[in-house]
Amino acid sequence: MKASGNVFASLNEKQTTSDKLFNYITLVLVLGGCFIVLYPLYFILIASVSNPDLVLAGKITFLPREVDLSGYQRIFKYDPLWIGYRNSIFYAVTGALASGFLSLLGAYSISRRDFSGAKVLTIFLLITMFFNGGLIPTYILVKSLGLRNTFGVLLIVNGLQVMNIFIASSYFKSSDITTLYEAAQIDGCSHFGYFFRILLPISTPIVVVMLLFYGVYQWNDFFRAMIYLDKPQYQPLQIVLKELLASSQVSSQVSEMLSDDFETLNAMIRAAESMKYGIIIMATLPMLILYLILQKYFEQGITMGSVKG
Amino acid sequence: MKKKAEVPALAKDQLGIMNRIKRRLFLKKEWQLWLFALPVIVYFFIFNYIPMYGIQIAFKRYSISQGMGHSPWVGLLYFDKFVNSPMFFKLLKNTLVLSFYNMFLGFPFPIIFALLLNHLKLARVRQFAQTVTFAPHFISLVVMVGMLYLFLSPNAGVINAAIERAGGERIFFMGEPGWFRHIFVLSWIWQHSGYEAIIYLAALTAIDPCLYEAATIDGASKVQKIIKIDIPAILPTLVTMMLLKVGRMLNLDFQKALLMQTALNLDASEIIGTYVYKTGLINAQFSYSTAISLFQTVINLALIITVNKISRKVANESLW
Repeated sequence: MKASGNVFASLNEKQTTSDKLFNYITLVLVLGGCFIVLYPLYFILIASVSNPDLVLAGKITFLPREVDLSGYQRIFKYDPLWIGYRNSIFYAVTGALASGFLSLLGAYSISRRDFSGAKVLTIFLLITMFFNGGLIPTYILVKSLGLRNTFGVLLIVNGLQVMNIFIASSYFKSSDITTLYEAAQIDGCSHFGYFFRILLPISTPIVVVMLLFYGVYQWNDFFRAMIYLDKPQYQPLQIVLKELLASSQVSSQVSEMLSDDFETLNAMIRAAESMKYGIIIMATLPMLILYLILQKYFEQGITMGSVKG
Repeated sequence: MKKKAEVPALAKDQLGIMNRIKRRLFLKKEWQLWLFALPVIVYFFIFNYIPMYGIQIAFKRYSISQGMGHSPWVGLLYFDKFVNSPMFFKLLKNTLVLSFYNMFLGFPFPIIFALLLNHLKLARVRQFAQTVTFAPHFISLVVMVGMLYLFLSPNAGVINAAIERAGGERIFFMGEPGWFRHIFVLSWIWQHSGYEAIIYLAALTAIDPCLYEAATIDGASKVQKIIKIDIPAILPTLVTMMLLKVGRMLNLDFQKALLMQTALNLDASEIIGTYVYKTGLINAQFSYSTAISLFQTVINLALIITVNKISRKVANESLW
């Protein structure tokens, strides 16, 4: 071992020039990629605190200039945004807990090789990945169940996702739990006891992954809310954002809000545009912070999903 | 345990089956596992299988007052209507062009990025790069498209400000059909390449380091190692990803197209998915919309089955 270690050390020293060149090019390309990804996000951050006129004139590049927090002040006074925020937190937290719990339960049962129904259930779920009723039949169903315009609709429709169940079940399959189960069973442990008292406590990664995946989905999705909810008091944040951001026009709500402060239409448009930077920061920051804290788990989850569908 | 009852009489045999089921359910505690799965079964039955039954309205003249069961059958009327409508070729073309463009331009970036990261010696830089490039994946679709509108706005966007300062003409990016696909695909690459790279990186880190050492002794350069070791190692992942993408090809991000749609770029941005949404939920033509959506599903299924077959023959990899 020692000898071979030395051989490699000497080999590494004698890197060919082409390999050295390769290393430099790799570094430059990777850092370049990081810059391309990071810069727009960084720009939004500095633009949100800079003087709007300088931003619009394209005079902000790397540092904020003439710090101006009036955009944020206006955002803080905008009630629909906070209602959306409150609702989205509710949907994300409740959805993550409920869907995560039920998915883990189902995943456990299909992960057991000694369960005679496992295969049938897997196929039952797999079919839904490739074939589904589509938009309208689902819409008609949701409507006839009386779920439109209820607080629960976003938790229920698309509440459980096959992909997540498969990720969890492949985790249970791959971790060495069968012997543990046998030991527990000899001690007279039921599936319930085993699942809740032994398996869940030692499976923190998959529990976190489930909560994250469902939580992020509920936070970021807008389409279901758009078609199933009309009432503003139920709308999640993404719908409010859609009104504010995803349009080439200044939304009527914003122009009403700003009409008192500005004399000309042009000034108002400029203020509204610059407000958008702050809104993006407010809407995205929670997810990005969550991601930075729990990055390890997100990466695990994705890798788990790709191992076996 | 699975041995069949030896007594030939039918009644006995049935009794044997009943006994086996009983034994499974109670002695092996399988009823508990069924109970675990019950919420999932009920949920997917209601929200996935019942809508499948609802597809029948594609073949009926559905009216809410008559209900699904009592609406009259019209056969393939709505499919006929769709195929012969002036929108048909435009939608098909837009959907296919956007899908292929997104697939082929979007495909190499995560792979190249993963290969580069895998050969990066500086562990800190590698970790940093992974953290940074994965982050945009957490930006919601609405905010992503909002960013596009904001940056590309003709009178207030920074890109146009830069263009004007460089002496160019302001471009109304979101209002020109010619720009729609580029913006769609490039922003997709920006947002999701880092996320997909993680999947390839997982396959790359599973490579036995001995292979690289052996290659070093044999005097292989880094590029040769990538070609001879890395690419074969990620090939199964690559094929699986490709298959999954083809499977989703026609119903690719129609929500993104919908958000990016303006009255002016419709010529390029109207794809089957957005059209299904508009005919169905805006114009309330339920049967027609369902027929179009079914058309898309069937083509999707055909595509994935074909590509799966091809890849099984060519690369010996398949989804099933």
